Amino acid sequence: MSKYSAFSVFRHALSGNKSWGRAWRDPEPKASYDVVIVGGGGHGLATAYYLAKEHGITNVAVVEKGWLGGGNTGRNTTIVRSNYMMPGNTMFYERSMKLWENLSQDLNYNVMISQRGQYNLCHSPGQMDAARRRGNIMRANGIDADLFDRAEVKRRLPYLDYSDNARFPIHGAIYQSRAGTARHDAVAWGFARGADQRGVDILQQREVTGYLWEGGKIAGVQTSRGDIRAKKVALCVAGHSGHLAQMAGLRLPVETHCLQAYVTEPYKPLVDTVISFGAAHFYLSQSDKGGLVLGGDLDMYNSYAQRGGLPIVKHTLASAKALMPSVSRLKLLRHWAGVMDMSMDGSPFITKTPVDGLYLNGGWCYGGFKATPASGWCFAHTIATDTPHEDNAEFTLDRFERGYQIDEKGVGPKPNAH
Amino acid sequence: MIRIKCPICGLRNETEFTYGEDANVNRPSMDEQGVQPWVDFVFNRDNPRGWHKEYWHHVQGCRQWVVLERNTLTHEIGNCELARDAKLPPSQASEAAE
Amino acid sequence: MPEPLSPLTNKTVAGHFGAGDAHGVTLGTRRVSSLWQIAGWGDFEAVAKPVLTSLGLSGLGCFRHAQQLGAVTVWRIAPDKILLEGVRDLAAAASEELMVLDLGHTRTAITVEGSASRDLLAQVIAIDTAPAAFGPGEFLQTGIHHVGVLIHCTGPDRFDILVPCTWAETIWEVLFDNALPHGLTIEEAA
Repeated sequence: MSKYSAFSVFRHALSGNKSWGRAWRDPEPKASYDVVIVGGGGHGLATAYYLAKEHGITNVAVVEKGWLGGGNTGRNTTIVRSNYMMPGNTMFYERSMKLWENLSQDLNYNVMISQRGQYNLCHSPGQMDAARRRGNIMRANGIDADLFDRAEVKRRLPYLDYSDNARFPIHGAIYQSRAGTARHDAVAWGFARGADQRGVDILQQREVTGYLWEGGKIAGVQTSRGDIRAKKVALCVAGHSGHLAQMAGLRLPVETHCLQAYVTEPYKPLVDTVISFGAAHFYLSQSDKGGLVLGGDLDMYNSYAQRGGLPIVKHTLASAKALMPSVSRLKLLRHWAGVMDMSMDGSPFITKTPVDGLYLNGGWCYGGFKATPASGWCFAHTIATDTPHEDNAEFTLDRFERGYQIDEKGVGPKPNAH
Repeated sequence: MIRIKCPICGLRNETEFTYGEDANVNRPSMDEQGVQPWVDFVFNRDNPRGWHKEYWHHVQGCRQWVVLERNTLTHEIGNCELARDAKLPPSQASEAAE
Repeated sequence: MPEPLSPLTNKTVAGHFGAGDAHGVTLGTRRVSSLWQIAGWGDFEAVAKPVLTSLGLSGLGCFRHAQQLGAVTVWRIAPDKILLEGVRDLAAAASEELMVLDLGHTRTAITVEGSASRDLLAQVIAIDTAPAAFGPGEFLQTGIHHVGVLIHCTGPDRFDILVPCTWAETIWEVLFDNALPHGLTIEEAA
């Protein structure tokens, strides 16, 4: 497998780009593996990569029911940031941020990380206080954070609504300069290529339909195309976590909900950063193709359908216009949806399960993309050593009954509120 | 747009309603001493990929709670009845009857 | 005791608006006199019977047709909730089983009349407003611009909309804007 470089791009261009090799193989599965990872999205592929790279565990298969990266990894709004304030979250996301900063070099694959900054706008003195608190927690942990007043936000983002008519006047913002965006497909492809290069088998179009058991222990998976034995089975299936857990007799503190995302027609460079509205759940950025990428609220009802309804489209666009009035002149090009694993406190799980041999990585709600590198890294650690790393130590299934919820929004056990 | 046939008001848009939650949750009786039934009630869910019984609140109509059968994979709509009339898990049904 | 002002006092400016040669809609307001809600649970029919009988009514009524007796209008808005307008003070009817609520100052009424009144309603609610679907004597509860309202058909092309006073101005504006293409007349306030 050749290393990508400016020289190789040049060399292949001279021969008409006909001799690039496959980025990853499409092998027949072996009869058994040390680890089978269920789910070939960003998290599953990252887990496989770090198992191989950090722990030398290469006898690994990633089993994906559809095509690689075709789930939430292919549908998210590409935001990357590490501005979480609850203990258990803060350093996990910062680990992810640091991995992002070097990911293209590490993977020899351009994941297009663009650290264009992220603004969380504030619309009241109370919200500014909350932002101040968050920023101080970030700084106390060595993470960059700045607090801007209204004048500074207006200087940097002149196209927002600062008029007297503004429904939610902007009081200021908390800003993380190292935050930004990354190319979601590229992350999946980069981790896939890196894992494959190290001997991991990526098995697509193969749906897990059940488990193989030996005594009370997991011994592999049943799939739509035959059985595959494994010493350890690791779930990375996001919104299908409950579905896969149920096959092992587990019920999870997770509800699966639909989240839509939107992109406008391409436009000249207009928004060179990520802006999150503080008065409603809405945020936007501009992709390199020029379309504004918009994200907002869940549709609010349980769904696995990967498509949402028009009422939320209207609601989201109303938020968009309240934030940035000129958006109303753009045409919406596409909307689509993902399958969100909304947990009972809005925070994830990277943990062993009560079932011997079964590991769970899920509960990412709608914030899984930014976590991709650290999720893979910490899950690989958990699988390889059978113990969590310090950075995912709080992401357990039993934290609810122990009273150790990690609830950033403080809304309690109502999944669609997180 | 999901269209819900409210037993009182007739066929209405989902925007007249607020989504509640899973209607199949087993509330333990108040004298339940074990921890696991309470943990299951508050935190753990079936979360089916298919037919789902769920509460919706008709806030802009008759303001009644209804139990709707809806398929979470296809969004097909099934039966809708008032929550007071719905056949719920045993402990909830007895509470509703009081 | 000072008379409360209508929340639409500043809105009902008489005149003709919108499409000049059309007269499709007339908007007006009506003072809501004496509005009460009785509610209960369990055997609501038995508990509400004394109040209803004293008004000359035989039963709880259905969820679709208003009951009208002289100046009294009665709407059954839920299995165990009834809204009554034009009745005497019902406070004395309250008991352990029957909750009685004076809603006198909480609602105002917007009247919609004219050949385009059904078209106007169809623009703001997602319910069939054709004469066969929504005829005189029928009522429905729905949302206009996300505000819960009760719409009562009081004639072939005439409707009463009970709106919460807090949102009356907004609902008026929504109806006003949507009526302009039909040619809108506003009469002097009652």
